[in-house]
Amino acid sequence: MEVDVIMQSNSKVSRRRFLCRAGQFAALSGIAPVLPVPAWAAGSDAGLPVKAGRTHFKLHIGPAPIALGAMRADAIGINGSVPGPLLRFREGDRVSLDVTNHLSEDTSLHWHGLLLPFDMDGVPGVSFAGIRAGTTFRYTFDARQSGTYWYHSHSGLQEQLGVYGPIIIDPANDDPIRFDREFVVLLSDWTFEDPYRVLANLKKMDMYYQPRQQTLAGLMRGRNAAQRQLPLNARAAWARMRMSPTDIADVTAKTYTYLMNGRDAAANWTAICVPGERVRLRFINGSATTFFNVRIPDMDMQVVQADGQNVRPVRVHEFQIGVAETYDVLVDAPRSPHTIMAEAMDRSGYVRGTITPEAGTSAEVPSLREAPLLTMADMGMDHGSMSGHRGHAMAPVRHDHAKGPGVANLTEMAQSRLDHPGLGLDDVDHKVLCYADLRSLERNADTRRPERGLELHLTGNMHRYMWSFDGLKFSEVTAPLRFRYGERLRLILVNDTMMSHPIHLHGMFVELVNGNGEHNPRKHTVVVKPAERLTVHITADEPGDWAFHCHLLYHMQAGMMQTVRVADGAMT
Amino acid sequence: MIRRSIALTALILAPCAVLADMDDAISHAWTQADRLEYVADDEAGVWDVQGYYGGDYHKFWWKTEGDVNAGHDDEAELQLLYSRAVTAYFDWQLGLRIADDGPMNTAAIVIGLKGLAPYLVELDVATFIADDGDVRLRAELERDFILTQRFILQPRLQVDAALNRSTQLGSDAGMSELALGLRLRYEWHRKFAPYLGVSWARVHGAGAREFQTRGLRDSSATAILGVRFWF
Repeated sequence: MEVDVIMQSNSKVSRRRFLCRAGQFAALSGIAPVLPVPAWAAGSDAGLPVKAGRTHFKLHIGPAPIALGAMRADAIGINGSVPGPLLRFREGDRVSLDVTNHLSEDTSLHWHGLLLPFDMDGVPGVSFAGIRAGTTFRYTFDARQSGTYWYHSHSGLQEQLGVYGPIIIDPANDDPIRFDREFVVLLSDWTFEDPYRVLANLKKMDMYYQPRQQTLAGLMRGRNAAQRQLPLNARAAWARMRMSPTDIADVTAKTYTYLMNGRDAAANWTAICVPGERVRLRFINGSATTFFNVRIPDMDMQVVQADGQNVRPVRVHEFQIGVAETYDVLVDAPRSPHTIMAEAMDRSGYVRGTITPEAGTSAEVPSLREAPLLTMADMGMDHGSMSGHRGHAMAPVRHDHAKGPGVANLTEMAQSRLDHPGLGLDDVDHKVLCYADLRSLERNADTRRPERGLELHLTGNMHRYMWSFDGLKFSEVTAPLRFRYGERLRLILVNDTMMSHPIHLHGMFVELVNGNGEHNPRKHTVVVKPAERLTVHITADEPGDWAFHCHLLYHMQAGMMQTVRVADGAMT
Repeated sequence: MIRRSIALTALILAPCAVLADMDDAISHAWTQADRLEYVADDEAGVWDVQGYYGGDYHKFWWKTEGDVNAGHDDEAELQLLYSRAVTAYFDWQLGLRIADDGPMNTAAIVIGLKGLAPYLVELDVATFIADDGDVRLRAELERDFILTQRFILQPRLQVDAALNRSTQLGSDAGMSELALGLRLRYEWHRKFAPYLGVSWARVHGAGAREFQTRGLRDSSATAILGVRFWF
């Protein structure tokens, strides 16, 4: 078996020795896994063995058994595994992928964050018809970028059932990121419930999966309670609003098992590396609905890439990764095992792995920290006494959009929250990445000033579990959002809801306006926090129809999606 | 009357038949037994069950409640409603109520409002307009107090009133019944919770006089035992 590992010049492991170890683990992976995981995610992993120069891939989507602990279920896998195989190709190559549907329903694969012709983007009903049962669809496109990405089904709720996997596109020229060894760390969430049942439960009882509501017993116990308890007057304020301060994640560890490279915490996915090496960890959040707080206690991480785009290195101890985002970090391989901790944002559960010089070792797993609560700032209320987060100016918000039963909350005052590290991480005593830290390594190609502005509101009603843009569900929108081909656009996103939404535009990067001017970071998925007003710039240079949606799977399914049409001609 | 009821029901259900089938507009079916309980003093069984089928905006909603009583007359009612989401938290409900109020069967048009009021009070108010012009009002209020992650205390208030004097039913205008309940349920599962409670009810007006002539008390407090479940 020809195994080519991308190793940089200053590698401290001989290539020969590495090949040997990789071979051992490949052999082990044939018998060891309880559930079928692809080679790149094998239980004890010495790095990514990769066939160089592959441009053609055959992918088979079909039933795949999954086993976690004593539980067994039928997932949907790609080439028999969950997650699917690593797709690795080189910038500049023309890639073709034959995707065969072995299910009894339609399927699709979407290449998340990739620049390609719209009819290769893989969104049924928007950019193509989907892949019918028993048929094969050939995707063909030129790799016009490099970096860490991922792919997943865009059909129904298949993504929750396991249809996702990583993509690495190696740069055509030298990679400015130097490293000796690399790993994909793909985080995801798994439920043994039928995902449609999960959605139905949320429709019928919004707090269905809330594991920790504020209780009267907790109030009486006061400081001794297991989690922070709001005083009575604050509870009354939340109750008056018909909202809950514990509504952090719609779906929680009450039903979810969190996975790292397809392994649960007990299975302890392990990255084996030699002390002193520079190790690149390519974090991908392939969850259906879970944001993770990622840290390696007692180790620094240097964030070098976000959403596949190189950024000026930022040294952090922790970062929050929204659904569908990716972050590449560099770490110094430790001399002793260290825990890679991925804690669900609502802190109802976690998954961990280990980075270690030796297989079969592990480190202490930190206990889950106290669950955060939403604050009045997340409500976007115009309270005289409330100052903006960290002194940010708060601007009153206009609401020129539909306000039907699907809109429960209208932000009165929106603010920039780019220097907020994410829910529950603003009071930790170490450095946490925030959006303000992200700065493109290279100057952006298009530095024109936007010629047109567009404001879009993220709207919803948790109680009815309805989610939308500008108050209109996908099924209620009569016309696509029109971008004129070639135009430079300013898109303002205002979050009227109490939840963080990872907003994903297909086909084009957006430049997050975070004060870095021509180095504003380019992202495919932008998390908009509660009551936040956030601006992105877009160069509409990819003609066609593109999906634009919240990447929380159940929000998209509930209607938080629109079509963006990039075409010549006048705007209406 | 029956023929008219059927025609009305068909009219009410017509909008429910045009529910779209797009991904974000799929219909769900929900059934909830809010109260399914044994009333100790009366040796009676009470049911209060409702459900819907529909999407975010339009639903077919049904409600039934009543009691099976060893001592005196049973009561039962069924409401078939079209439910339309009008605000973030409230639905208008329009439909038909068929009731077996002891001595006679009655049918009435229902115009109601159901939803979640500020401070998380579950509210269901309805007007029943019978074909003889008899107009009655009913308000039900419930509020969940979360004691622990499993124990939930639910006070409940129900008021029945008549807007006019009914010769047919022999009832006065004004409040006809007031019921208060306090139920402590244990959420063994989100969807299944046994409960214990107390309830107190008082009959007013003509009903009270009828109770008195029959030698019954016009108010009663009793222990209750029941289950609440939904699916």
